[in-house]
Amino acid sequence: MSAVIVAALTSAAYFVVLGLGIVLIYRQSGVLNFSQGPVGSLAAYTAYLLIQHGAPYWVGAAAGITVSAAVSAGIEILIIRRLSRHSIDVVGIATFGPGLVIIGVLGAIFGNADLPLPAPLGGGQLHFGFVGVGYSELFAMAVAIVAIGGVYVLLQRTRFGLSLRAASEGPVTAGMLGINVSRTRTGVWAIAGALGGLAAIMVSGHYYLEPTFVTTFTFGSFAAIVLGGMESILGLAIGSVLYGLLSSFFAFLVTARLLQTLNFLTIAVALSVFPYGIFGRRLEHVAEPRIKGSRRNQFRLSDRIPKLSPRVVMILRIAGIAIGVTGLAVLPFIIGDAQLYIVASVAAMFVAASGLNFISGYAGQGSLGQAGFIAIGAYIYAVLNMQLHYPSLLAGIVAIVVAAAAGVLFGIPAIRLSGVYLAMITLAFTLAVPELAAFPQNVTGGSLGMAVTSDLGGIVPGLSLLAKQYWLIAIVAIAVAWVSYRLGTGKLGRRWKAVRDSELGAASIGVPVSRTKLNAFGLSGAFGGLSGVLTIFVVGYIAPDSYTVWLSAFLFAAIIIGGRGLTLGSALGSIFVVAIPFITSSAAVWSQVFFGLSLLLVLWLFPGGLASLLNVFRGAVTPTFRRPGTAPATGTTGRGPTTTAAKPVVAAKTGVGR
Amino acid sequence: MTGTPLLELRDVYAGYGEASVLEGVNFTVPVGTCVVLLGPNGVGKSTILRTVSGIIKPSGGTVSYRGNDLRRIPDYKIARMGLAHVPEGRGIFPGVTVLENLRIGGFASGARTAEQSETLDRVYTLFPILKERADQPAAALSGGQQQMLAIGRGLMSQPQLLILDEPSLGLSPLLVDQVFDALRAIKEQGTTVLLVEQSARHALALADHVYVIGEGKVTRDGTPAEVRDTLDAEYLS
Repeated sequence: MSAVIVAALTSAAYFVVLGLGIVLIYRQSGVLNFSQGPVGSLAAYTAYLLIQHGAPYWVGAAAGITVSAAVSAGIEILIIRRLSRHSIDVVGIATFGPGLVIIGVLGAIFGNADLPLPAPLGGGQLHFGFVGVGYSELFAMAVAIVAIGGVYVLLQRTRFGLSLRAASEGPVTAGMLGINVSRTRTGVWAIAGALGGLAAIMVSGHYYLEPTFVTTFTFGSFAAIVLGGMESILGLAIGSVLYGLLSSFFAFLVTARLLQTLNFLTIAVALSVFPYGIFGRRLEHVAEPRIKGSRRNQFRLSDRIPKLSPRVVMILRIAGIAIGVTGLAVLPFIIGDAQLYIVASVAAMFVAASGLNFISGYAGQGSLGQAGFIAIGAYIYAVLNMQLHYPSLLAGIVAIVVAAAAGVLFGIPAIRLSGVYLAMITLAFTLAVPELAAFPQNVTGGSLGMAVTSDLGGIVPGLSLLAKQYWLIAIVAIAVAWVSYRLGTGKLGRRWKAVRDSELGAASIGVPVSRTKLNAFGLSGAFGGLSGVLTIFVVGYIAPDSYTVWLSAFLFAAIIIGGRGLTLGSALGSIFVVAIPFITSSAAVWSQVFFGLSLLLVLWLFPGGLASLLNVFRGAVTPTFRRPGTAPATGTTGRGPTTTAAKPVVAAKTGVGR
Repeated sequence: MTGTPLLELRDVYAGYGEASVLEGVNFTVPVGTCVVLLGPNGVGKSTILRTVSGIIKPSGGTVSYRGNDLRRIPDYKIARMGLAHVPEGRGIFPGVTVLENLRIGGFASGARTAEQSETLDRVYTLFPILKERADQPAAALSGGQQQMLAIGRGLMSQPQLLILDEPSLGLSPLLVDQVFDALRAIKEQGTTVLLVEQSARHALALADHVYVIGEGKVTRDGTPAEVRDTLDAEYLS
């Protein structure tokens, strides 16, 4: 029993130090920083390298923490600062970019082998009566207490801390009062990086080094952060102890194989009762204008390209669709099975991305839960088909219905959340589903998974099974494209956009906000489930490690890369996220690096997504509401309304008073 | 107009995104005076002040303050040059205490916290309520108290030029009188004031020189007496 309590307090110590960095950056900019784990692991690898070469432990640790701080500051300066035009959830997904680069580089240099880092104080123990506590456990607890105290003093008692709090409540006002907001931000990222490094070195006394080990640990500690609340340092400490106790006793008394599920359930229950954590409160902000940079400095491709008339655009669009559909249909006769497999993967990815697009594109709620719905669809199908011998079609339909129901059920806590809390609960969901699916080993094959054979008979004799599967997936994907286009441009799509832009405003004109969001979650679940079924169909095998946080992140990246709220965007984004790893697969270790860099490049160069590139050929958008008595703006001139008429519209959009 | 100009705008153009708001603004603020910008909603008064304090950068023309061209100087450095901006809507940091808000105001002066007790006492003399509520979160203050805090925070940097954006906005008539009494005291202590106001009656009583703004330009200017005769009745309400 006392050993469990020691384990609980040690876990709490890790949660605190991991959480501090996350909380600091969140408080400063509202961003959930996914690069925290990879940046932290740099410290452990640096320490490992130096200790291998004969440096004393403490020198290695200090050097490692310095490296983490510097890299984190560099990420802020080189990346985060340049994405100020994007919304918070996009900046959050952008932090996956440097994270992937670091993981890729570490994997390329050190391999994915588990390397040991020595414990700081050796393996001795201190005895308190009957209870023996290891030196490294005591060390972890001491470090956590010092870290909490240090951050508290920094925030509450120093000029930097006050500048930081001012800059997070109102950056524009803080700047106007003489605070160098950029430098404050860089400082916070450096401190968060150092804390991540400290956490990595603490954790690595207990675990082997592996490029993603701190990241996994960080995701698993979200419950500790959420319990206390993201805004309060004291709350983080209490939440960490509570969740340390809860998870240690759960592992001791129930099972250690469902900790991610416990993480998710804790977050779901905690946030249902306390939407800002037990000790958190809503962060308050200064009522200040959001000053966006003047557009005159930006390179605008659209100014240099001749505009096409709406009729030509329509013809081109129809021609594009016709060529695309025909191309998809005849593809099996042109390319080999290996390439066909890639196209089928893109199509399955597109189906899932279209579903995510309802929540994250149209309704504007950044979700990292899509891989969870894919896993639900895939597992339900696999179990019904293989264990209960349902016919494929029936198993598929049941799988989709269950995934949709899971979407609605999951939506009930999730619709009250937004921003960082939604990101955390959806991410925990993605981690929990495969773990839960692997739990009944004799049904699902556990962590090894199981084979799923598909029974497509001789529809077109003479073609490979893959070609037939491909056609099925292509037809489904085309249908999904049509359905999501109709939904997105129809009444439901307008409601989603209204809720995205202002829940209060939407409610005031009679949009049922909760139901509208639940619709998005349900449809998102259904499309995710469908994608899961299709994937199983092609792959012929199901295993829990196919449904990772990275898959969720890639899907979210896909709709942002392609263009949020655009069906074509989901398609282009899906091609991007499937094709990039495929193209670079000859240099497999570097493919993560390449993907991370290209994600950042797209966000930086094409803030509206790849699909927005095609819009440069279109004239100005015809206004939906015209002033009475004015001639309709046809757009045939390609310039739309004159500058004077456009002025009030643009001013209203920037939301700035004069 | 006499005296050396502390602030001078020449042919300033500025805007947000693609929207152009200021289209050639010219005016001067001499040392030790109170200059008032009058005009209806939406003509660019706040934009002028934001251009001065560097939150937005002009796309044309020059803004010179104490002989420095402000166009290439970031906002936080402008604040450190002795220019305090009390923004529209007060810009109070709601989650930190009243005293901390004042301390933040003092950052721009470069003085250490211990050296600021005299300035703090001056602000407390001007607005005694802030001393009473020093340790409460600023969000707990009423609108009028928040306005006083905003002005007090501006004074904490001991500015040479205090610019205020509609300090009477949303206040009851009694509180407006109080705020303007405080502004008069600030002016009499030698601080140069640039004021944007819609309450023309109060503003004209304080002003040495008035510029009337219309559609992104100065349409006319003069002493309060000169301007008062030509103003529409609606400004004087």
